Order: sequence, then structure tokens, then C-alpha cells
Amino acid sequence: MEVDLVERARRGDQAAFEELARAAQDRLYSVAYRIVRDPDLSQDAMQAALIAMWRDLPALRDPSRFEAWSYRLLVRASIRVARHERHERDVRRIPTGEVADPWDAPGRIAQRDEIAHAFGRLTPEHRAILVLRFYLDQSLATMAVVLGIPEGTVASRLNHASRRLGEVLRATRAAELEPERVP
Amino acid sequence: MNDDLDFDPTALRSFLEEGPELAPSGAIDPVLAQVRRQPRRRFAPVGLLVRLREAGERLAPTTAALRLAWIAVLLALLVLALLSGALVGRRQPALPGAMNGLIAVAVGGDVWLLDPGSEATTLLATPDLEETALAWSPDGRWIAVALAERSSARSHIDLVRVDGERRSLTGPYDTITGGPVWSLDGELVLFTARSDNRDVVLSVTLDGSTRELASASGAAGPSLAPDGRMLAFTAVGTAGPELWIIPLEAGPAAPRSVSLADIGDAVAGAPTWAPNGLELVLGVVRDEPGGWALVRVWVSDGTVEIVDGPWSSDPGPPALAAGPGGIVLATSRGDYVVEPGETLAQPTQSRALAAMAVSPDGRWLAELLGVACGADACPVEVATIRPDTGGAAAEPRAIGVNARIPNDEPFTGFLSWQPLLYPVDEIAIEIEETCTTISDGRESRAGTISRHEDVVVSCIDRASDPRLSGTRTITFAIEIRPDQSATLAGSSVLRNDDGEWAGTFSGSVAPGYTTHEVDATAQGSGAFAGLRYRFHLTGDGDAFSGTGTVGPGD
Repeated sequence: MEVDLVERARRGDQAAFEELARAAQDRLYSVAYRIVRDPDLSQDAMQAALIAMWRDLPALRDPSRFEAWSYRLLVRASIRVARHERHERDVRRIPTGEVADPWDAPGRIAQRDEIAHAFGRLTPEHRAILVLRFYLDQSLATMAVVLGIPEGTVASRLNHASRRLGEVLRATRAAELEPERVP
Repeated sequence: MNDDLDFDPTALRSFLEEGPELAPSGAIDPVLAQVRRQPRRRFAPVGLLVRLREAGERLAPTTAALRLAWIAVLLALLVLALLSGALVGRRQPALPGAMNGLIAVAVGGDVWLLDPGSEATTLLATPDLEETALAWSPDGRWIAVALAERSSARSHIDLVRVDGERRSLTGPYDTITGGPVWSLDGELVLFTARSDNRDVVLSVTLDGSTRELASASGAAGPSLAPDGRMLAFTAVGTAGPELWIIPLEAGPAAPRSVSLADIGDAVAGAPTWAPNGLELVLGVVRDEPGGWALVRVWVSDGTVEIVDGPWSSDPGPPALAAGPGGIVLATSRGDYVVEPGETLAQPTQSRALAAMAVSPDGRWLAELLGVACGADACPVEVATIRPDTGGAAAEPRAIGVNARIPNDEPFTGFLSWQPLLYPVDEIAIEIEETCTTISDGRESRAGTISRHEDVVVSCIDRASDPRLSGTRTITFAIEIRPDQSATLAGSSVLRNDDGEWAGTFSGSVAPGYTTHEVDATAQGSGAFAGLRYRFHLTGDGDAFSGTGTVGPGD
């Protein structure tokens, strides 16, 4: 069904594209949100990806690869959007003592808070590759198709992003041991 | 993989699970509206060629006659596609804004001037000189050109004007190895040269007085910091390539060198400063095995970080250019990157890339390309593109240069984009405007005429020149006659982040309160001080379109 829609949209059928866009919007938005961490920017990224999709569909050779291709456009749009906003935003940290979920153990809240803070400090590229791996559970092979780079490069980038996340987490913990320092 | 992780992947997964799973209601409506407004061209060349190739693969002709017939069919279809493209017409990409002047290109030993608006090209012919590099002065009046005499190969720097006026600035030297680069105040030209068996970094004033700033083996690629206080250049130390950063003014800062010997064997091109002045990016190449890496150097402590690579299999190191938005990087794959790592556009064509320049307004990128290379040579063209947007502006707009680079010569060249803060001539503008009435004003009647005063309308203006886009607030009086025709006059202020355009306008409305016609004039202030904007708009009262001009004020 989707292949048929893609084929029609590729030929310029606006109704088919509309159906494709409606079907894809939730998955695209949810992934964009994980990368850019802002509802408005996620919407911008999703819209930019969909417009690029409409523009570039004639160049998509294999309609069965539509989903991976759409993620490629989305990741690119999300990174672009996040880059533009990067210097104006930071991840909000939950102040000490604020409990988001009373059923959570305090340690778990702290860990989640640390992850949120550290994840927000990563570059959009690093966030994107971690989202593909740990949110979409994509294999290296699928990620290679989505990102348009060799599998080896994906493994290397993933490793780099993971190491960076670990470094930021360690730095955050070290900083929190020094009460005078304000993050 | 998880064994290597420095964090708990379950915690990361759990964190990523948080957040919305559904797009907000109506989130794709603007997209669908745009798709409806912009149906794709019926004969999209890319799609057509893809289909032809697929069809060819499926048919797999087995005899010579069938193969010939198939080739004939392909050629006929290609001609038809080209004709249909010509008949349907091509959407015109947007033009670089009026702050951006001519693009100067040094390629194939000549200097070309390109007008990205009209696509006119001018060759500054110098049969006895071979120009290799150039840079516009900050006021856009002069081009500093590094050149060599064809007879003796001795090198000079000349100053050249758009009208062809030329004067020698400094020389001769054995070779000019880097630059020219202008100081921010336009008082100095900085460059590196080899002279009397020494590699030196020099500055020269506009009256030709030179001063040696430093001497280092292999000095090349001078690059001025955004604040104009430091100069970076590359050199060859005893262990390998080095990056040097020297202060240009007396003060506490001392010259500093950073060794790149652990990374590679040589530096490719000049280092590029990030707009924040805190870091530089440069390409480093390695001989065995071949390849290149993109390296970032932090100015504060000399930390070196590989940001792309190492050892890409691309045939050449990236071209780099700096603009207000960050460092732009392009590889031979054709990626556009703002700050290393972010891909902004996909390759548009098979090409060789020699150089890039960011427009003075920071929104456009010019690329020096070799395209459609044949067996012997590559024809040269300059493409302008606005990489941060979609739509027409993101389509490269190519300007052909009548030069060909032989395949057995390295494809090198130089681009510089003229700053044009005050255009000499008026520049045409296209405008689209949507308006909302904020206040109907005070109504009074004089016989059969209904008069409204202090009507306030707020409009969003989108113009082909970004300086004329923004929010326009209009206050006016309108007299409406019994046939619902009207005349109106008032004042308006167009504001954006960089300044204001304030002025007056008058216009009319056709009977039945249908077509609105408005003529307006406005003077700029803020960043637009000294400029005048005149325009004419036609619309239905809510949506308008029109044209205008911007040029020097009264």
C-alpha cells in the first residue's frame, strides 16, 4: 500500500503525498522531538523534512526504502534546526528536590536528570545517532542507509557519540560534587 | 556494544521514551498547503532519468540491433524531456540580496567578475600576468590580486578596480605563497611570500610600505581572526606541519605554534577561523596511505581535535569558508556543512570543487566548480546557493565562466564576494505581503462618502532582499464612495532585526472594494541608513504582491 502511495506521490500525485504525510507525521515528529528536544522546533523539522520529501521524491529509486529515506531527510532537518537554536537554548535541569514522579526512586530521578542534561549537551549529530540506535532500535545496517554513510562510519560515529555522552555524564557528576559551581 | 558504553543504555532508552509520540493537530497543514501551491514540475528531469535507467535495466536488450534501438529511444526521450523543460519553464531561484555585490574569481590564471543578479561576466584580461588569488577590500572598492609574470614567474600583489584600473602594490617576490588578506579597516594587505630563500609573513600598506611580521619555513595560508587582532598561518616545522597564531597589535599576546605532525604530513589550504574567534578549522593531508582529516584547533590552549575523518576516501580535502553562521565546509561529495558535521544539502551534480566564498550578508554560498568534465578538461562555473533554506533559493544558480581547466593540472582557484553596503545602482525587489486589520479607525460621513481615519493594519512582508522583509505597520485614512471604490493615504513602518523603513504611501481601491493598488516610498534607518525603498503593491486587501527598488537615499 505504502509503496503504491510512494509511487503515485513520486509521479506528482498530491493526494497520495498527503496520505503519505499524514501516515508519517507521528513517527517523524516523535523522532524529531527526541533529537531537538523542543516541540516547536520538532514541528519545524518535521515540516522541513516533508517539504524536502515532496521536492525530492522523484529521485527516490526504490519506493520500498521510503521509510529509511524519510528518516534521512528528517535527521538532516532536525540537525539543521537544532544547530540554529543551539546557542540560544540549553536543557532545563530539574532543581534539586523537585520530584517529577513521586513513584520513582530518588536515585532514578537523579540518573534521568543527569541523562537529560548530558544528552542536551551533545551535538545534534550525536543526539541523532543515539536516537536512531536507542530509540528506534535500528541496526548499524539500517542506520547506514538512513544516514547515507558506510556501516563502519556509523559504528565509529556511534562509538564517538556514546563516549561523548559518558564524558559529559562524568563531568556533570564531578561538577555536582562541587557545591559552589553553578552548572 | 553495550560493554563499551560509559552509561546505562536502559536509562538512555527510558529517557528517550519520554516525550510525545503524536504530532500536534494540524502540524502538517502548512506543508500540505505548500504542496498544493507548488505542484511538482511534470517532467522532473531527475525522476525521468531514473525511470529511463530503470527501464533500461529491465529491458536488458540482448542483440546489437535491440541495443541500438534502445539507445535511439533513450535519446529521443531525452530530447523530448529537454524540450518539455524548456516549454514548461524553470522556476527562477531567488537572487542574492542587495548587500552582496560582484563575485571575483581567479581561475586558470585570469580574473573574472560575475554579477550573481544578471549573471553577466567580465574578464579582466591581463595577457602577461597569471592571477592566482584575490580578495575584495572591506569597502568593496578594490580587489587585491596575487599574480605572477608569465615571462619571469616573479610574483606581485596588485590592486584592481571593477572598471579595470590597476596599480601595483608590492613585489616582486619569488613566490606569493598565501593571501592576500585585508585587515578589517582596509589599511593593510597581509600575505605570505618566499623571497631571498626565506618564507615570510608580510603586511603592506596601501602606499606600498611593507613590514615583516614573521618568518617561518613554509609559511603559507594567512587567515585573519574575526576581530582582526590575530593572524593564523601554516608552516613546516622540523617534525611536520604547524599552525602559527601571531598577534597583529602590540600587547600581552605572544606568538604561538601548534604542531600537527601527529596528524598528517601537510596542511591543505588556509586555516579558517570560526566566527567566534575561538577556534580554527583546517584540512590536514596524509601521504601514506592517502587521505585527509578535518581538524579543529582551539586558540585558547592549542588543543587539536579531529572533527571529520581521519582519512576520508574523498579525492581531495574539503573547501572551507567562514560566514556569520559558522564555518561552511564542502567536500567533493558536494555536502554543505555549517560547522563541521551538519549536512545541509545533498550533491546536485557530479563536479569538482575548487573554492567557496560566503556572501557578505552571510546567507549565500558561492562555489567554484568544474562541471561536466570531459576527457581533457573541465569547464568552469560558479554556482550560488542559499543552503539554509528549501525551495527555489536552495537550487544552485550556475554562472558559466569561459575557462577550462586541463585534467592534467590541479583544479585550483579563488573566490571573493564583494561587500556592497550601499548599492551604486537601484536594485529590483520582489515583494509578497499579507495583512491583518488591527483597527477600523474612526468613521465619519461627508455626503455619500464614508471616511475612516487612523485605520491600522499589520502586515508580514517577504521580499527577495532580506533587508526588506519584516513586519510592516500601516496607519492610514480611507474614503469609500458609494460604488465601493476608495482612495487611501497614510504612513508605514517596516521593521526587522536590522533596522526600519519609514515612509508614506497612497493608493486606490477599484469599485466593489476589489483590487487595491498602492505606491509607497520609505527611507531606511539603523543598518539601512542612507537607503531609499520605493515599491508598488497590488492585492485584494489581505494579500499583496508587487515590485520595488532599493538604492541610495536622497
